[in-house]
Amino acid sequence: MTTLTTLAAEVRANRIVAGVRIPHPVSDPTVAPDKEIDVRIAVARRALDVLTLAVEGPTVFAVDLAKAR
Amino acid sequence: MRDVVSPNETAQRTSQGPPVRVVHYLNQFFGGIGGEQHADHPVEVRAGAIGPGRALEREWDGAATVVATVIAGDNYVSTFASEAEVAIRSALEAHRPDVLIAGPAFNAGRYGMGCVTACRAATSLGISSVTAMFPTNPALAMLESRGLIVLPTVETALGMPTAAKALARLALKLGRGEAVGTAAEEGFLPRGMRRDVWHEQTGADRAIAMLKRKIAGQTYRSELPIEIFDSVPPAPPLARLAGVRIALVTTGGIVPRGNPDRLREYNSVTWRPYSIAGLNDLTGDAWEPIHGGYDSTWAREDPDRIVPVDALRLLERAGEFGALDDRLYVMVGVGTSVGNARRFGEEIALDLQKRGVQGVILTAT
Amino acid sequence: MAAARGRLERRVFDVSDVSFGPRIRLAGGLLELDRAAIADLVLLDDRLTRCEVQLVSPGDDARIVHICDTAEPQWRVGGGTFPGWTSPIRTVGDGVAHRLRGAGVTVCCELPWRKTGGIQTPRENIAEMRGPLAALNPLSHLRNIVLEVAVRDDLSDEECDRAVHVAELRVAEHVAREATRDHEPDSVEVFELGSADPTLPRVVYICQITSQGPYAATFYYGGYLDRLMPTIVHPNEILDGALVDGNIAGPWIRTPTIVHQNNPVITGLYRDHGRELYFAGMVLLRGHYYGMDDKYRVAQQASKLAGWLGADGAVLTWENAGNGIMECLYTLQECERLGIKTVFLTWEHGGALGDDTPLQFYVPEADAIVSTGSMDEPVVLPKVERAVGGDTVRLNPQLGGERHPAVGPIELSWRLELYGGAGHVGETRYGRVDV
Repeated sequence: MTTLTTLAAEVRANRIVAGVRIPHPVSDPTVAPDKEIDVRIAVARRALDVLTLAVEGPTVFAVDLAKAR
Repeated sequence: MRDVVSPNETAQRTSQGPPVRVVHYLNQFFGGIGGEQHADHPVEVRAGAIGPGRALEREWDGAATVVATVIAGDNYVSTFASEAEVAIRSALEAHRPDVLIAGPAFNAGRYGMGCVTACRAATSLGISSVTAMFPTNPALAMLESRGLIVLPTVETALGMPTAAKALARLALKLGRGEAVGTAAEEGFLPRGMRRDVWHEQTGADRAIAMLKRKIAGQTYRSELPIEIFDSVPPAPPLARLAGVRIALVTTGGIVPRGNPDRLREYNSVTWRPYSIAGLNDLTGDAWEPIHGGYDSTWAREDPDRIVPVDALRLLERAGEFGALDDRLYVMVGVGTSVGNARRFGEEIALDLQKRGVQGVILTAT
Repeated sequence: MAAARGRLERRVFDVSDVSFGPRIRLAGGLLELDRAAIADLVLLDDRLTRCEVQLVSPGDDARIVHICDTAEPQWRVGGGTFPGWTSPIRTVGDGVAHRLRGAGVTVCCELPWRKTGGIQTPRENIAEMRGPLAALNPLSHLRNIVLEVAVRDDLSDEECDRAVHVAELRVAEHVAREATRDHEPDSVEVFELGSADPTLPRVVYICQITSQGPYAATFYYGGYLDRLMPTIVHPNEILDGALVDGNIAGPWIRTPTIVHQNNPVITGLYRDHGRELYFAGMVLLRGHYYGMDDKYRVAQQASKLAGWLGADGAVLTWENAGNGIMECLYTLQECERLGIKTVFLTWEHGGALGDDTPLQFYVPEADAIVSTGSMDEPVVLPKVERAVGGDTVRLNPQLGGERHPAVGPIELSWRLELYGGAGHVGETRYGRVDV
């Protein structure tokens, strides 16, 4: 899970989930404090989901944060 | 785009000492056994020079001689690389050459791999080696080719005369134990080994000079080769999340407050596992970010923003996956060498296997 | 294509020695300084509580520590020196300026370490004055006027950052003015992108700076580039004080102000302008955006601007470390797609033994790279007679900071603490080659 998705692809990580921002890749401190956990849940859920997906090589997966916020 | 650099010098007859002893590695085709139908031919050793080896001897004009030619089929070497390496090593032990020459393989991938294997066999015995192939031969993307001396060739065997000349020259130097210059000086491809130097000109002047040449369509030599990373076959997907053990790994440098293991803020030389057993989240009181390469303001307030322990605990409790492993694997990514990162990955993977972890979420800043 | 405006005439006054004297004076290459007056000038700013002035010369058995920045003494005759700092924000690069070549004003301060790490920590910046690594910093061949200062306890990081820079720049201007006003220069250099043979290949310099907050940014007219879009600047602006280096957090990976004032890519392209190439202008951008989208945006904008300047070729430099390389390489990639030939100037990692991966990111179009060498070899800085700037050096912020005597010996696990070593704009002759 990283914001630097192309860098992860370059070093051949196969399952890459796009992070939010470099200093907080799995969260979003700009949302209301009580809502921030929802962002992390959405990100974590996506990561778990991606572990169940077949890939052929480096693949970047986005997280739909609109659902979380 | 790499230039094909072919030094002008020709191999000279040595005025003193016996001829340099060479073992030459060839595939089944250049070794005179046959075409593709003989690609499964196992390693065979024949006396003297064969095919391209004779071109080398003409270049040397007595200064060096091919004492034996090692031939192997392209399929054989690529399928049974370890067995091939063992066999080639025996041949080298038997003949004790001053240098091994492999190929030229041009753009043939399996042949290239065979050349790499042959050179590695030589290296393991302390024998110098040199090979030649097209710069984007797939064999050169393999980790195993790192550190080998590889002369660039054109794509096809039409380049044999030039390649033979280049191989002959450099092999003679290597076989005589003479000092080898930089990749640029000797004409071989960057091999993943670099050394600090002081140039005549400043970096700015070199950059402007290089740009002028590039704009004018003249040849130029980049001072830093592009690195291609080798692919890793993806692990098969998890069939389901129920009952699955998941572990968290991070390069974001989240450690127990006080950094008890004195991890570095960059250029990691070690990783550490920390227990998150019984923890529902990571708090700023108990954990801190020690990574020197990102603005840690947000991580300091709530380390879950780097390692989402709280979210995963909630999902674990809701039954969306089996269990979150008690171990959090931590290191600092910034400035860490690729070599160390590889080693950490291997070590952590072994530990994960022992703990029955089936899926990993690795977070990076 | 608008003609690049701006004629910068720099009157050069050479300094070959420096000493203290009753007043500021330059005669026959000897610069005399009124020590007390300089300290008083600095202390007019009540953010600073202490100022001692020291002199350090090339080859001295000494090292300088706690370095915050270095500026070349410079005075714009018509006013406007160091815009956004000691004078109002007004475009520079046009007019007459005096410079003291061979001298530098360096401000040193042990800034507070308030966090145990992160990117905004004012790390230890060390400059050797002798030995094999001395040539990697800009101070070892200069007559150095060192301001040892202390800041008030109650200042924020931003205020500390500004205070030390104001001290340095104020003194740099003052010394240049007092030493050279009404004097004839030793030589004159004129920077003007006058008309030249239009068939010459047009070269643009794409200069990327960093902007990651206090202690981790390069100032543009005294402010952070932050969310300002990549822009076209006149190269004279850079020579004339538009950029001030605030990257105390990254000693090796910074470009000290004095290096910007003498940026060798700029002076090199000027040298060839009208003869072998047409220096078509400069693009300035920042890197280290925290999201991929912003990295793509600035790469598109910077390359677009280079195209608008009619570039046939571009030299690209960046600064700092890590993910900032991506903005620069994406810009390079887009330039190549636009038909602009590129050369990338960069430092590298590659490990102490030179057997590890040199760069953390690549694009296939980066086929013309000039390397300014590696940071990775560990080093032991030897014992010296005298340490200026502080008595101890602080290392390892992630361990709360460990102190060692500044006179040394000092063991460094790699060379991050060595001031200016990366040679970001190609100012050194250092490099690495494949063997």
